[in-house]
This record gives sequence, structure tokens and C-alpha cells, in this order.
Amino acid sequence: MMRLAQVKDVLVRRRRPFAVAFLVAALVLDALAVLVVPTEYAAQSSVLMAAGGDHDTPADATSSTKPILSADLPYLATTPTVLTNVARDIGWGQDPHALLRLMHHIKANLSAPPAGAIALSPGAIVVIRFTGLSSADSAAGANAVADEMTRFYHDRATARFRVLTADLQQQVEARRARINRVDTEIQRLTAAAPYLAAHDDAHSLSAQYQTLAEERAEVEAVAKGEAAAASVTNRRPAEAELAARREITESDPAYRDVVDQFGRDFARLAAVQSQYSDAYPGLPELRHTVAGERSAVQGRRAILQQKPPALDTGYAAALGEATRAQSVAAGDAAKLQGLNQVLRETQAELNTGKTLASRFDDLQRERDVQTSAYGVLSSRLAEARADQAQAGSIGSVSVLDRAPYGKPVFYTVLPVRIALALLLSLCIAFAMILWLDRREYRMWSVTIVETVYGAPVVATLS
Amino acid sequence: MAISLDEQLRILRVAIEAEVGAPTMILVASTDDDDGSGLGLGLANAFAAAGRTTALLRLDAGEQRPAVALGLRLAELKAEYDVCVIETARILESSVALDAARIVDGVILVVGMGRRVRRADRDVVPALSRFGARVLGVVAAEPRRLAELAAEGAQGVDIVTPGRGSLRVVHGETVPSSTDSHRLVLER
Repeated sequence: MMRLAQVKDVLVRRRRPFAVAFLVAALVLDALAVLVVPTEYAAQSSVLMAAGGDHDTPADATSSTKPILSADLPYLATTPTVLTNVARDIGWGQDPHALLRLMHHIKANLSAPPAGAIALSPGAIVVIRFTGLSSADSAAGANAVADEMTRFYHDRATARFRVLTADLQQQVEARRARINRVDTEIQRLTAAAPYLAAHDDAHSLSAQYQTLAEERAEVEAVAKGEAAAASVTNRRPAEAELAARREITESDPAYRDVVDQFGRDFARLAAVQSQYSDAYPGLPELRHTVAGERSAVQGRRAILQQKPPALDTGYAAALGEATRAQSVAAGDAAKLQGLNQVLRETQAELNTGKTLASRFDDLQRERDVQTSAYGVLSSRLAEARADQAQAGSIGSVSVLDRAPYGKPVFYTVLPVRIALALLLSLCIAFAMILWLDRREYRMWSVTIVETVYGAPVVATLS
Repeated sequence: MAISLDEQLRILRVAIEAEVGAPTMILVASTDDDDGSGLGLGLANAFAAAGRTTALLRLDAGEQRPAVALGLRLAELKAEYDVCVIETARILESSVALDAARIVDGVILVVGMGRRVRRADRDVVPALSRFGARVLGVVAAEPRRLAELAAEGAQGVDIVTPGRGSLRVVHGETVPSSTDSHRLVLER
């Protein structure tokens, strides 16, 4: 590091001619530069990004479809679209090199809002400064950048949400169609098997089956009892018929006479046979008489047996009871048969219903899933539409202040230019001289001294 | 923390005494007139401030003197003083200075920081070695410091001249002289 004394030594004593020559040359060149460089004008416009577009604001913390941050806003100014539009607006060249120059020009004059301001303040302001060779040019440039940047932001913001909402709408419609299909299937199943939709146990198919089974058990028990009673009752007409026929036989006088005669003769025959041998006279006739009488009894009995016993009241009553018991038993059997048929049908329905119930449960679950997804998508769609509306609103990003005119840039005003050129020329001249002087090999450090002399430095006086 | 100029000279004096002992005869030489003559005077003042009887002898580069006579004179000075500081510039251009370098106990080379490097700077140590001189080292000094030392003047130092036969001894800096050496001292 050169000290002031060293600089003075170099400039005044050792390099004075060079210093004068460089100074004069620099002054001449700078004077030419001062005359050639024109005065520049600068104009400022500003763009406001209002609150609501950032994640920093609590109201938007839940939204997952937010537009760009306000910190990104300054970079919009140098996008190709904005550059092209600005160049068209202000008559700037459209070729790539001209656009590149325009981009650097805008970048150099664009002030991004400080990061802290973005996080804390409700809005962020981007100041656009544009320089030109006239007041009108600079104002036109600043306003063009602000306008095009704002327009581009609106286009991009709404375009993003247009795509998003279209996609969400498509998804929502697909879900809705699927739900409708599932509902149709459920309705068809419910119509085919109403019990599937009945959530009350009293009306379910299994409950019906249970009730029928219980009823069948009761009917079966009654039928068994009635059948037993009928079998008992069925025997009564036969007994009553026998009794009636006996009564008919016994009440017949001819039969009674024949039976009485047969009884007496049979008794006589038995007495003769017991008291006498077969040689007893008259025995064969007696035997023959008894046999004839037996035949007569049998013949009369056969004739009496041929008479219908319907006229007998007991027989008729027994016959009526038997008929009623048989009717009751037949009715129970028919009822039991009907219940068995119903039970078989219910059993078949139950077997079929297991498959239908499984399908019904699957459809119900799918409907629940689809309904849940539909709800989420609907919510996102509503949110995206709200964001789209917000992004497209005029208040989110707008031109805050337009540049009315351009002011001369301070450092391009003639007196300032002269002063700056003088200062610059002095600096350049002195720097050149010191650089030239520095190029000589001098005793600038202890290391150099030791290297040159080849002996150690034992002391320094500084 | 910056060390004062007196402290820097005291350190240099202690280093020289540790190297060559006492009585001491030191030649402070340079290769360039720009390096000035302040270090010899400052070093002599430092020895005097330490209680040593000190003489300062300045040799002109163009001076011609037989080596034998110079040797005898320097032997007389060494016998008379604790410390004898001989100061010369452009040592390689003076036969008297080279003779003195061979006689003295040690040679201190002084160089002004920031000046341009010359060929003599590279040749001086090998040349002194060939002459049999003992180079103790180099003192790198800022030119303004050397100027300050020269401006201080002698403090308790006898400044002697290398005159033939009778050397005039002058106590202190206020003694007037018509010789070149004294003129230099008085001018500074």
C-alpha cells in the first residue's frame, strides 16, 4: 500500500513529466467525451401488487393454488413477452440484440421491493425507472413497461387458473357421472331386492325367514296334533258302525228268534253230546238242525249287515266328527305345505341376497368414496375460481402511478459531467502513472531488500 | 503498537553489541546517495545515550587515503572510544570506504525503502565479502525516518574528520567546521 508521501514522491519528483502528459491527455479526451455525451432524462412509474397474492397473508395460507409472489413481479418486466411489447410500444428495435439491450436497460433501472417490505406490508410497489434522450421518451418507456408488465401479469395469472379450473371441472364431471352410475346400479338392486335397502331388522329378509320358520313350527305342531286327533276320530265311525250294525242285528226280531232257536238247539246238542254217544238216536238230526239254524243265523246276520247304518245317530255323529277332523288335518297339512313353500322361496332369496348384498355394499362404498372425492374436487374448484377471480381483479396488480414526464439525470447534467470527467481524468492519469512507477523494481518490502542484498534485514525504521 | 524511533535504534544497538562486542567499530554504508546519512548519526547517538564514548567519522566517497594511514587512524580511534561509527555512501565507489570495511568489526548496510533497485545493491555484499568485510545485515529505513535522524544532530557524540596527522575532535553538534563532513553535519 503506497502512502501519500510515496505517491507525492512518484508524481512530483520522479514522474512529473509523465504526470503532466497523462493529465493533459486525459483532460482533452474527457472534454471530448463531455461534449459528445448527451443529457439523459429519467422517468419513473410504479406498479402496485396489492395484498392477497402472497402466501404471507394469513387469509391465503390455506390456498394451494396461489398466483406468483410479489417478489417475482420485478422479473416479469424482463420476460420476452413484456420486452417485445414494450419495444413495440416505444419504437425500440425488435431484433434480439435490441431486445437484449432493452432488457439490460430495464433491469438496471428496476427497483424490487425489499424482502422485508413484502413480508410485512399489505402491498408491494415496484418502481420502474426508464431513461431516455428526451423527457417524453423516458416517460413513454416507463409507462410502457408498467402497462405491459401489468397486462402480462393479468394474462398469465388468469391463464393459469383457466387451465386449472378446466381440469378441475373435468374431474368433477367425471366423478359426478360415476356417482350417477353407482346410484343407478343401487336403485336397480334396491328394486330387485327391496330388503337390501331396509336397514330395519324387523323387515329384513332374515327376520322374515325367522318369523316364517317359527310360524311353520307352530303350524307343524298343530298339524301333528290335528292329525293325531283325526286318526283317533277316524276310528270312531268304524266302531260306531259296528255298534250300529250290532244294534241293527240285535234289534231285528227275526234274527233274535233264529238266534234264540239256535241257542236252544245248540245247548241241547251240547247236552246230548255230553251225555250220550254218537249212537244216541236223533243226534244227527239235532246236529243237522243246529247246523241249519247256524246257517240261518248267519244268513240273517248277513242280510242285516247289508243294511246301511246311516240311520244310526251315533254312527252319523262319529262319521261327522271324523270328517271334520280329516278336514282340519287336511287344512293344516295344506297350510304346512304352503309355509314350506314360502320358506323354500325365502331360503332361495336369502341365498341370492347374499350375492346381491355384497354387490350392494361394494356400490355403497364406492359411492361414499366417489362422493368424498367429489366434495374435495368441488372445494378445490370453488377455491380455484375464487383465486381466478382474485387474480383477475383489477386491484391485485395495477399501475400505481404513471410517469408524467422525465427529469434530467443528475450525473448527465453538463456541470456535473464536467466535474465527474475531471475527477475521472485525474484518477485515470494518476493511476496510470502510479502503475507505471509500480512496474519498476523497487525496495517495497523487506523481502525484496533481503533478496536483492542477499543479507538479512536486522532492523527496520518505519 | 508502533515502536518509537529511539526504541528501534536501541534494539539495533543491542543487536550490534551482541554480535561484535566492545569496543566496537561499525561501518554504516549505503550504495546510493538517496539513502542519506541519518542512520550513522542516529546509531552513534544511541550508543552515546547508552553511556558509551562514541565517535562518528564520515568518509566522502571521493576521498583518497592510503590504507595504512587509515588503519592506523582507526586503530587510534578504537583505542580511544568505546564505539566508533563510520558512515559512508556509495561504498563500492570508494577505495577508502572499502578499506575501512575490511578493518572495522562489522558493516551495516542501510537502504531507503521505496527507491529503485540498482545493480550496486546486488553486488555490494559479495564485494564486501571478497574484501574480507563482515556484513552484519541490512537496515531497511523509510527515507523520512533517515531525514529525521539527520535533522536531530549529534547528541553526546564526537564527530571526527579523517584529516591527515591531526584529526580535530569536536564535541557535540554545535562545533563549527570548514570541512565537508562538518558542513554536512551542520547543515542538517
